[in-house]
This record gives sequence, structure tokens and C-alpha cells, in this order.
Amino acid sequence: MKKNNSIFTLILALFITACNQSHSETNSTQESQENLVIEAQKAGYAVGDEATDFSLLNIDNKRVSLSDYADAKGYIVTFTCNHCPYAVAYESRIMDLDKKYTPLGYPVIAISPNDPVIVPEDGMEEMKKLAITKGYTFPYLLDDKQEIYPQYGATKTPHIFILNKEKGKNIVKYIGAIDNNYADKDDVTERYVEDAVDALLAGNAITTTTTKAIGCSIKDKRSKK
Amino acid sequence: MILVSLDKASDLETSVRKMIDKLNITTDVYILDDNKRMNEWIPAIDAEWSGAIPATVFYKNNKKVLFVEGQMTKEELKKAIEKHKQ
Repeated sequence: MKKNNSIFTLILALFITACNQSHSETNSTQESQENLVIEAQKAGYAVGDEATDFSLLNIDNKRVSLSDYADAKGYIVTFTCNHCPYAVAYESRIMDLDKKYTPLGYPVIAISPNDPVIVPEDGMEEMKKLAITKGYTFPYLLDDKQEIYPQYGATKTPHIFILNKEKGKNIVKYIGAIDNNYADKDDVTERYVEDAVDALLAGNAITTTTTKAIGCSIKDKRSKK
Repeated sequence: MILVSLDKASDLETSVRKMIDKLNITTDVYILDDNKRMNEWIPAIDAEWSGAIPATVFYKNNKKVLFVEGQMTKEELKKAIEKHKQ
């Protein structure tokens, strides 16, 4: 630590190198970021809330809604994207979740929340390419108006919301990370999403209903979050 | 200022070093690679932090005075520093 920095103010900046590739600094006349962040975090769902349905364009040019899945018991709604290194690290694990839980009634519904103008890698054509290359078995939707992710309260990719169908409503049961080790899937010791869905399937209470993990902030032209 | 990279430690000599060189970063850079305990140290840094990066914490006299989740413009950064200076 340099002496002159430590006298009155220390700034701790947390970042990931690969995320900075898409960094675009914009001038803003908005109020202080402090207020923006607080507002953004107040919005969105808590566990127990009813989640909204949506109609978003999929990589096959068709629109997908939760209500299309008449037989589903619930959903693993996954906000993810192409470019973020944390999302990339979880690609195969998201596929595994879908393969395991779609037959059990909890399909993965992936939504890319970023504005492709800010992150061209997250545009629909690029999403199609990734889905084909990886062989995605789940819908990969673009939140093109960026209206769905703020309602859920997603702030980053990946960010998971597990929904359970209860009396015709989609109730939020879990918010957070897939597991506790993005970097090494062979060294995971907490499988939050699997534990939560397994608990729902068994009719048990979910032990851990919210978790926090690092992810890339969602890129939105309105708030430049 | 202290920069904390949340890259994997194995990326230190590749992408992290490249970024330091490219941007001519002269301040100290640390790698925080405690992956399995994110759910513990994220709330410990700030209760409001969802885990989205970039994130910036401002300390004055060893006391946290501001936490910002998301990107800051240069102007916002300047404003935040000026506000808490002295």
C-alpha cells in the first residue's frame, strides 16, 4: 500500500480482467451511484414472492413463456450470458442441471439480460452460435427490452432464481449461485441449486434459500450498472 | 487505492498481468481466489453487495464510508473521493 493513499481514503476496487473487455465508460448526469445501487437492490424478488411470467425471444426465433411448460412443477430461471467468465465457467453445469431436472419437472430457462449494444458478444446471433456449439437443451432467451431482469432483481450473471408452481403461481424459492466453486467443478462442496430443487421434489423445506457469489454486473444502458 | 482481481489465481501471469501492463497500473493488485467461501466474504465486505463486479469500497480512517456496486464513471469516482476527503 502506498503511503499517500492510506492517509484518509482507501479505495478497494474489485474486478475481473476479462469483464473489462466490454467496459465502456459513459458520462452520466444521474444522481449518486450510492442511491442507484440501493434502489436497484430494493427492487426485485425475495424468497416467497410471486415471479412474473414473460414472453421472450429464444435462439430459435420463437417466443418462450413459463406458461408454455404446462407440466412443469417449477423452473430454474438462470440469468446468464455469453461473455462473462463466471457464466462461461458454469455453462456445462447449467446444461447438467437441465438434463437432470427437466425430466423431474424443473426445466432450466436461461435468460441473457445484457444490452448487446454495450456487449456485442451477448447479441442474439452470438447467443445462437454458443447454444449450437454447446448443444444447449434449454431455451436461451434475450431480455431484449431489459424489463424482466430488474423485476426479478437479477444483478449479475450467472444469477439463479428457482421457482415453484403453487396454486397456479410461480413462487420464488431460492435466489443465488449454482454452487460454491465457479472455478473448479470437481471441488464443489455446496450444491445450492441441486439441494434446493431436491428439497422441493422431496417436499422438504429448502435449507439455504439465498446465497451470494461473484458475477459480472448486468450491462444496462439506462443505469450502466 | 488497492485493486482486487477476482480472477483465478492461475490467471495471474496471463490475463491479470496483461491487464496490469496494458493499463499501466502502478497501484498494488491482489488476487482474491477464495472461491469456496464467497458466500461468507461477500456479505462481510458489504451487506448490500450482491456479488456483481466491478464493486468499489471507500474507507476513511479505517471506516467504510461508501460502497458502490457496478461501474463508476471517472466523474463519479472523483465526486465520491472529493466528498469524503477531509
